[in-house]
Amino acid sequence: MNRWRHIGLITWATLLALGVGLGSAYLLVGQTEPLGSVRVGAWRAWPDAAAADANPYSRAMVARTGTLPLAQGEGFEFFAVDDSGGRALSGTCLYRIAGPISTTRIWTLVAYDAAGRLMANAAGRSFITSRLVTRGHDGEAEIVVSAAPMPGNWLPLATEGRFMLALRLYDTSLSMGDAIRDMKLPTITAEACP
Amino acid sequence: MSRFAWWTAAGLLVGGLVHIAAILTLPAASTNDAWARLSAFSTDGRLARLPRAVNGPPALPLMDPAMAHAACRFRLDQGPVRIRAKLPDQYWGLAVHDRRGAVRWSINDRALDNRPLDMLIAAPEHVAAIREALPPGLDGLVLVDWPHEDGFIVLRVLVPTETAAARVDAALDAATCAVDKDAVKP
Repeated sequence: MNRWRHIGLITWATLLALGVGLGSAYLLVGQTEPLGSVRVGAWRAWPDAAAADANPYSRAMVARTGTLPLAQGEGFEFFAVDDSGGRALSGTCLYRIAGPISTTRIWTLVAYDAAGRLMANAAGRSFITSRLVTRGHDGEAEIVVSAAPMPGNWLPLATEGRFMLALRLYDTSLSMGDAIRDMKLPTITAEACP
Repeated sequence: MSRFAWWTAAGLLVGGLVHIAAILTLPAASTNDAWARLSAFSTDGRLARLPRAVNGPPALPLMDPAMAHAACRFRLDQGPVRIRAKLPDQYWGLAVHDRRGAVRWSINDRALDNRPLDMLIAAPEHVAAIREALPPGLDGLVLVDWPHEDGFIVLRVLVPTETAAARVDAALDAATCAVDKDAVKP
């Protein structure tokens, strides 16, 4: 066989191996819905992110991002990038977050921009907690998420672009992995999208 | 089978191995994981409070701004590591992570019933000796059996209102994380 043809085939196979191997690894570790993540309504949890026996993809992703995920014994964290209707969360809209939340000692709701940064705004905060909200007669708190100041429970935004919400439940009585799907989480309803 | 198809199949097969190798080596090769990021906050062998961002990126990605955080990277080669903190009567949680970031042990304020936190992270060979003869002053001690060379702790304390932030920060600044050679008598 022609020597150059042989070298060409080896080069092809090597590039293919590197491309397929590294490319697929990059795609799987970089995706927004990692292996082992669970969806509950608009929210997504990743319960085994901090577990010692997490799958290799979870471990690789935690190592790559440098986050400090909550272990199940500490609590649960949920992220939402879309509203309950499936539309991407946008800073130009006003959202109402309502409905029961599973019993927990403390919950916190944080707005990050699409890159995970906290957003500067006139209120000087980008979170609200179960300690700071006022509740209705049914004991539930309704939260308005918007860039414009709102009376009542207001989570300020400061972005024209996309944002994401993190809901963290600390010290819940729930800790079974399969209980996550049964957890009660609020809905995110877009009310004013100019 | 043509030579081209044979080499393509071989390339795909090796690609699968490259994929597995990349995923498995990433945690050890990462220079951006929590362990590496914490070194920027002087957390080696001491408990350092992490800055609480109001805007911009949090100290560590996606950190909860409703909590005050402190962290300490430790090694057990000089002896057990003792962590002491007198925290406000408030939700707090402490997690002990291995170097890869996995949480291997955790505790929160309810477990201590308002007592100050006093814990000792010790290698398994020391734990037995410490349990057998608890040195004086260590009766309320929380003992953590740590079969790894190193790790880091992350302490989260709820900041209930912004007016309470200074009190929480002061409690975290007064907390300590240091090698305690006296905990193991030779």
